[in-house]
Parts: sequence; C-alpha cells; structure tokens
Amino acid sequence: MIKMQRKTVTDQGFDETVKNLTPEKIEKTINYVLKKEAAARLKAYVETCVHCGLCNEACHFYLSYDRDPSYSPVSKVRQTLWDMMKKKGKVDAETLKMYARIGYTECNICRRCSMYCPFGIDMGYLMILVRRICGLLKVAPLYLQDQGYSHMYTYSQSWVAQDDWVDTVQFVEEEIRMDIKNARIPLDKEGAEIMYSPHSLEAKFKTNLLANIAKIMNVAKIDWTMPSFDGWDSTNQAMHVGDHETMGMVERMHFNAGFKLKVKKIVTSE
Amino acid sequence: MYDGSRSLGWKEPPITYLQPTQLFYEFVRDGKIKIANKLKEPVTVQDPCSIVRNKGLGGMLRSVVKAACEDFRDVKPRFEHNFCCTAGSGVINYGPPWKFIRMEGGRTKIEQLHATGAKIVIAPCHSCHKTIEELIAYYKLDMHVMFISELLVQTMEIPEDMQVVKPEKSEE
Repeated sequence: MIKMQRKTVTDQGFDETVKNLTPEKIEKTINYVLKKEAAARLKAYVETCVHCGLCNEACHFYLSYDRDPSYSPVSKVRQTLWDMMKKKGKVDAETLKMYARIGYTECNICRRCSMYCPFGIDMGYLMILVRRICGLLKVAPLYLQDQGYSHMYTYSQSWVAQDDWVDTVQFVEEEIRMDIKNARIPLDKEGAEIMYSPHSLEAKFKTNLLANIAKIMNVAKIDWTMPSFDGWDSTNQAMHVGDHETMGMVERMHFNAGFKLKVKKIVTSE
Repeated sequence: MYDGSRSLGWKEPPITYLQPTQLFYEFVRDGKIKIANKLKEPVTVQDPCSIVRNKGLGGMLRSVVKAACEDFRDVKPRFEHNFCCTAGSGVINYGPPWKFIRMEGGRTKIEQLHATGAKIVIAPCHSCHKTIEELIAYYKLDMHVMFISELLVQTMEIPEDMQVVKPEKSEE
C-alpha cells in the first residue's frame, strides 16, 4: 500500500466546496463521467496498463521528490481513477478532496510519461478526466475557479473586459511609437494575413509583451490585426478547471473572431 | 488546446493557427527580421510542452535562438523529452497556497537548466517564463529568463526609415 505524505494546505476552493457535497451527488457525477463521457477510451487505457512503472522516471515530480513512489504517474492514476472505479463512485467528500489535490496540483499534464509508456497510454487524458469530475463538483483550487468564472463573465482570463482591452491597445500603441516611427496596431482589419490573439496577461500587467509583438510585426511589415471585440483572448483556463462547456464557448469565440475578420492565419500568444 | 477544436466538431482547426515561435522562425528565415546585435551571454532554451511536445517546434525555436545568440548551450534531455516547468495546465494560476508545489516539483527542471552553465534562459511560454524566474529566485541562482519576443526585439535591426530621432540628439 502506498503511503501518502503531504503537507496540509488550506485552499477555500477545496475545503469550503466539499461541505456542500452529498455522497449521492458524488456518486452520480463520477458515474456520469466514467460511463457516459469517457467510456471506451478509458476502458482501453485501464485494461492496457500492465503496471510496469516505466513512466516513473519520466515524471518531474517523482524525480524532484527523491523518487517518492506516491508521485509516480501510475500511482496518481491508481489513487484517483482506479479507486473511483473500484468503489463504483461510492466515495466520501474527504477522498474526493484527495483526488482533486492529485489531479490538480500533482500533475502538469505535460504528457512526458506517455512517451515512455510502451503502450502510449495518454496520462494527460486520464488526469483531465479526474479534473473533469472534480470540476463538475466545483472542487478545484480557488484561484483557478475564479479564472474559469472570469471566462464566463468577461470572456477573458483575468477579468479584463472588452473596453479595457481596447484602452490597453491604444496605450501600447502610443508607447511603441517611442521606439518605432509611426508604428501602428491595427484593430479589426478585415482580410488581414495574420490575426494575433494575445494572452490575457498582455492586456493586464504584461503589456510590454504586447508591445514586443507589435514592434516585431511593424518591423517585419506584416499585414496583421487583432479583434477589438470579445474573443480576443487566446487563453482558456476553463479547460484546466474541467469545465468543458465553458471551454467550448471560449474556443468557439476565438475562432469566430477569426471568421469575422476573414483572416488567413491565427497566431496565438505562446 | 487539448482536443479543443475536435470537441466542437471540427476535425482540424478551421483556421490555421500558429505559435509565435513558428512565425518568428519564418521571419528570420525569410529575412523579414534581421539580427543586428547578437547576444553575447551564454544562452539556453526551455522547451514548453505545448509548443515542443504537442506541436514539435523545438527545431524552429533553436534556429531562432541560434540566429540571435552567439553562445548557445543546449539542454539535456531536450525536444519532446524535455521536463515540464511545473507550471503547466493552470498550476501557475493556483496562487500563494500552492506555490510550494511548483518550487519543490521544479527542482529537476532548474538543475537541468543550471547544468548548462547558461546565464539566460529563452522561454517562449508565459507559464514557463514566470515559473523559471521564480525557481531561479528560490534556488538563488545567477540566471535570468527572457521571452523569445523580447530576445528578438533586443537584437533585431530597426530599418532606418523606422528609427525615431530622439529629441536630445536633434537639439544638439
């Protein structure tokens, strides 16, 4: 049996939200995701894994914590998804909190382990499934939930509304003219070659990054534009919370901005 | 964008989307951006999972960095075998209660970067940039992180017709 040794961390997103959960609600959600959303793919992955442990050496958490087996990828799946399946969703709120902690904070979904798996099992998918279950039950780190709600409300990651965004662009344009003569940041230019979709932070407190991109585009003499309307933000934190409905909305708005401006290519921020 | 456009019913993204790394690679390759003053300090790169493991742009990233820097030192392991910066998939956004998980979990990453002996790390990703900068401060190392766009802006040549005449000079 693997012994979990973890620091106690207080996060309202975990501690307060689990109080609202009933065992029936947890069971219903787990069974919904495992049977309706994940069915065949999950079954294939679970039945293919032979517990060889080749993924261990691939995980940076496992290596950083001096090869603590409880941080190995297979152990993270075992403590979350396999446990849920074995108990058929009948788990209490404390166990759910542990699932959420593993799913959200102890895996970066970098998918390095999948490259070392002899069967190519996509661990990223499995951990996203854990996040999906916890996200539906609203058990997620508070800061991350906040950004998910920001996507719903302002259509950007960090509570930057559309009018603030236009304001930032004008400010940045003025600033880059100190370095480049007559530099322009064209907004809403129809039929442009490239639409640049910035990161939300570039509109809030890392405006120098937006200035960098604008300088490069101006020097390279590129026909480029950015949307002034909602859909300008290329980030998608709802995906990380496990809120696939909002994730779809954000993604669709992003492409819709491209359709509306009839651009040939979209360039994301990273 | 994990299964993003596919979950909306598009088999492929309906509009081609590029990462800036690829765009900058094309600019440097086609001569749209000319490098005027190369960086002299030893430089290494961070291969972000989203750009290198998922999209395979490691070669393009290196070709931009090599074009703009004199002393490039590669990391090991590299390309799609590179370690994650411990900030991926939103972990960067969890706030103060969870900072320790990035600092402790990122030990492998920072040891790998430190072993190259480089003074500057080029990171094309926002999460990687912030976390590696924090890791450097946490482990008290003499390094600095730079965005790939920042690198280009610092080293590129601004054509004469675009240069701003500074007021001090015009008064002389």
